[in-house]
Amino acid sequence: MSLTVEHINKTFGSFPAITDLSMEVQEGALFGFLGANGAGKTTTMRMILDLLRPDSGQITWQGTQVQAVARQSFGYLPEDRGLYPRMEVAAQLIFLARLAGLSQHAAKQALDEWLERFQITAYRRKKVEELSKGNQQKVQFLAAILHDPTLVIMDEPFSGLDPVNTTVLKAAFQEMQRQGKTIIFSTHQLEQVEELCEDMVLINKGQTVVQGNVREIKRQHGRNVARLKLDNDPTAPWLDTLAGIHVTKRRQDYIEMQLPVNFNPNLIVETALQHGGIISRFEVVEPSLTDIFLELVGPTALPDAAPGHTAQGGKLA
Amino acid sequence: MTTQPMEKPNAEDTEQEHRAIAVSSHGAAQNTWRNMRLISGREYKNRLSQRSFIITSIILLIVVFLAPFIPTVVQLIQSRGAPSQTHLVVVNEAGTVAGMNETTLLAFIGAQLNGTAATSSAPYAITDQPTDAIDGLQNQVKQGNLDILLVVERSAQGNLQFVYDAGGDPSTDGNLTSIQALAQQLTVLDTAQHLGLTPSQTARLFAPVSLSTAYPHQSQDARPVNQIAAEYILAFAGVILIYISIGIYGAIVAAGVAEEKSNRVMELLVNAATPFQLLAGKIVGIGAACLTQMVGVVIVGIGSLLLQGPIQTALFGASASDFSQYLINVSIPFYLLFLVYILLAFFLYAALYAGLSAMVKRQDEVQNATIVPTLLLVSGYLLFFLTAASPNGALTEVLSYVPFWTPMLMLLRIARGTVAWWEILLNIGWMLVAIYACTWFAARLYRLGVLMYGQRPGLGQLLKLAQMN
Repeated sequence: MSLTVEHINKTFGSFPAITDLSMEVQEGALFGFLGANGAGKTTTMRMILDLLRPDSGQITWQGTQVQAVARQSFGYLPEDRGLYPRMEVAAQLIFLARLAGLSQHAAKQALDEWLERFQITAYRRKKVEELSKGNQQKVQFLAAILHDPTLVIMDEPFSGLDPVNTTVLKAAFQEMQRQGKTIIFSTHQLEQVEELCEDMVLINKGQTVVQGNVREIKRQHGRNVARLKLDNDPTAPWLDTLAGIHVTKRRQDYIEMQLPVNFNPNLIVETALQHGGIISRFEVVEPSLTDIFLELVGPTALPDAAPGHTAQGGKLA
Repeated sequence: MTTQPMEKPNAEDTEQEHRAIAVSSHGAAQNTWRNMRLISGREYKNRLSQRSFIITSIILLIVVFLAPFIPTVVQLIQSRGAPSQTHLVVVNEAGTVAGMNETTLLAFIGAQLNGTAATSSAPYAITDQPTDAIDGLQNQVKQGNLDILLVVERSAQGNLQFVYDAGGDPSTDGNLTSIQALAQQLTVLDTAQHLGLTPSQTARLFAPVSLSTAYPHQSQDARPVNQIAAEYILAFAGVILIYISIGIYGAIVAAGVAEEKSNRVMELLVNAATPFQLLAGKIVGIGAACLTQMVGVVIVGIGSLLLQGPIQTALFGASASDFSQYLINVSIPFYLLFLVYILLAFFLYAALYAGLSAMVKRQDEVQNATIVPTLLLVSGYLLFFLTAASPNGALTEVLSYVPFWTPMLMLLRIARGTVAWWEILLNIGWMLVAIYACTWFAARLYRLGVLMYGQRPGLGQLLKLAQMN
C-alpha cells in the first residue's frame, strides 16, 4: 500500500510541465521531494491532490485512484500562504477542520492540543495577517493536519522559518510519522532531506532524475571529498600526480579534492608524509545532497540551458 | 514531545479507509448540506463582523428611517411659516364699494383672504386707516414695518382702482395672487351693483366654468395623482437601492472568490468541498448578509412610515396631507415585493459574478472579468430611467421579461399600476428559471476556474469547456 505515480504527463498550453513522471512513496514514509525552481514539484503535488488532472498516466493512493479517494484523507500545505488573512486563527482552523469532516467538538479539541504544542495559544483570537511569517506557517501547518489526514503533502513547509521554528516543525513531522502518517514535502534545503527522509525523489524539468533511498543515492552519486592542510606546503603540487585524485579547490585554509570510488584515503596521508609535509588537517567528507543536486541538475536547471537528457525543451512560461 | 494528542483508536483508521473506497468521484459530495452550511455560515459571520458592513448598514438604516419624515417635516414647515401674520392696511378713498360701508368692506376682505380661519391663526391681519395716513404708511412699507398697503380709489369713470404697495421681492411675493383675486372680485361686485343686478344675478357671474375633459388614448388611471406620485417615488428609491446593493454585493462575491483563489485558501477548500458547494455556500452566505441588511431596511422603513400617521394626526389634526397617506398605504406591499426582487436579483447576479471571477488569477483582474454582469446591471438601471420617461408602457413590458432587468423594470410597472398579479408571479417564476441556469453555468465556470492555473481562456473556450461533462 503506497502512493504511486505512474507515467503522468501534463502540458500547459504548449509547455510540457510534467513528462512521463513516475514515483512511489511507501505508506508511513517521510518523503523528500526535490527539484529546482520550476521543475514541476507544485504541479505534481496538485495532481496527487486531484487539484489538477494529468493529461495521461495515473496516480493511486492505497490502490485507489486519487480522484475517488475521500478528500478528508489528504492534508495539504500550499506554497506561500493559503489562509483567510483577516480571519481569526482559531475560527479559521476550526472552520477548515469541520469542513474536512471533524465535529465542532473534535476540531476544537485537536486545535487546543496543537496550539499548545506549538506554543501559540496566545494567538487564538489574532487575525492571521497580524502574525509573523513563522507563526503563520505554523497555523498553515495546522490547517493541513488538524483533520487527521493519512497523507500529508507539504509544498516548501520550511521556507521562511527561523532555526527555532524549523526545529519545532521538524519535530512535528517526526511525530506525525511515528503515528503512521505518510508525509511528502518539497524543499530546496537539501540538509533537511538528509536529516529527515529515508526516501526521496529529485525531478528536473518535469522528469524524474533520481529516486530512492537517500543513503543509497549518496553512495551511487557523487564522490567522497577529502580536505587536506599542510602547514609547510600550502599548495602541495604533488597531489596532481596521484592517480584518480582531482583537486577542485586550492584555498588558503585547505585543499579540496575528489576521491575516486573505493580509493583508500590513507594513500594521501602516506604520500604527504613522504614529501615531508606537516599535516594540520585531514578529513574525508561524504558527498552532500547539494553536491549531487548540482551535479545532476545544475547544468540544466536554468531556463536557457540547452535541452539535455533531462530537459524536454520549451521555455518556462 | 508525546504521542498522546494525535493518537486515535484504530476504528477511525478503518473508517477512513472504508470511506475512501465507498465514496465515488467527489469525496465531499455526500456532505453537500453540511458543507454548504459551514461555508455560508463562515461567509455570513465574516460579512457581519466587518466594519464596512456595519457602517453602511447604520447609514442605510438612518436614511431609511428619516426619509418618511420628509413630507411630514415639509408640511410642518409650511404650517409653521403661516403664523407670522401678514399685516395689511386698507385705505379706502373710493367711498362705498359695492354697497358696503367701511366696516362691512373690511369684514368682506377678511373673509376673502383668511377664509374661515380664526383671527389668531389667520394669515392676514387686516386694519383700515384714513386717507391722510397714506404718506406715513408708504414710509412704513419702505422701512419694512408694514407688509402690505392696499389703496382703493375710484377713477373719473367711476371704476375701482387698486394700488398695491408691498415690501419684499416681486418674484417671491406670494400675496399678490390673493390680492389680485380680491381686487377682481370687488370690481365685479362693484360694477354689478352699479348696473343694478340682483344678488342672484351677481352670483351667476361667479358660477364656475363647466368643462369636462376626456383623453381616450391615455390609459385609464383611476388612481389619484398623489398616489401615483407616491408609487413613482418608491419605485425610484427601490431601483436605486437595487442598483447600489447588487453592485456592492456582486463585487463582494467577486472579490471573495478572487481572494480565495489568489491567496490559495481555495486549494485547501477544494480539498474538502466540491466547487459547487463552495459557490453555493458563498452566494447563500453573502446573500443572507444582504438579506439581513435589507430586511432591516424594510422593517425600519415600514416602522418609520407607520409612525408618520400618528405624528401627522397629532401635528395637523385632520388636515394631514394626502400624499403622506398614500405613501404609507402604498409602500408596505411595495416594500415586500422590493425584498423579493432584490433577493432574486442578488442570486442571479451573484452567480455570474462568482463564476466569472473564478477565472482570474489576481484580484486586480476581477473588474475586467466581471464586466458583463456589471454592464447588465448598469443597462437595467439606465433602461429604468429611459422607459420611466416614455409614456408608452409596451417597451417596459417587453423588457421586464429579460431576467437581468426584471427587478428594476417590474418596480416601474408596479408603480405605473398596469401590472396584473399573475404577471408578477410569472415574472418571478421566469427569474427563478434564469437563476437556475446562471448558477448551473457559474458552477461549471467555477469548477474550471478554481483549478485552473494556466492562462485565462477566451470566451469561446469558456463556453466549450462549460459544456464538457
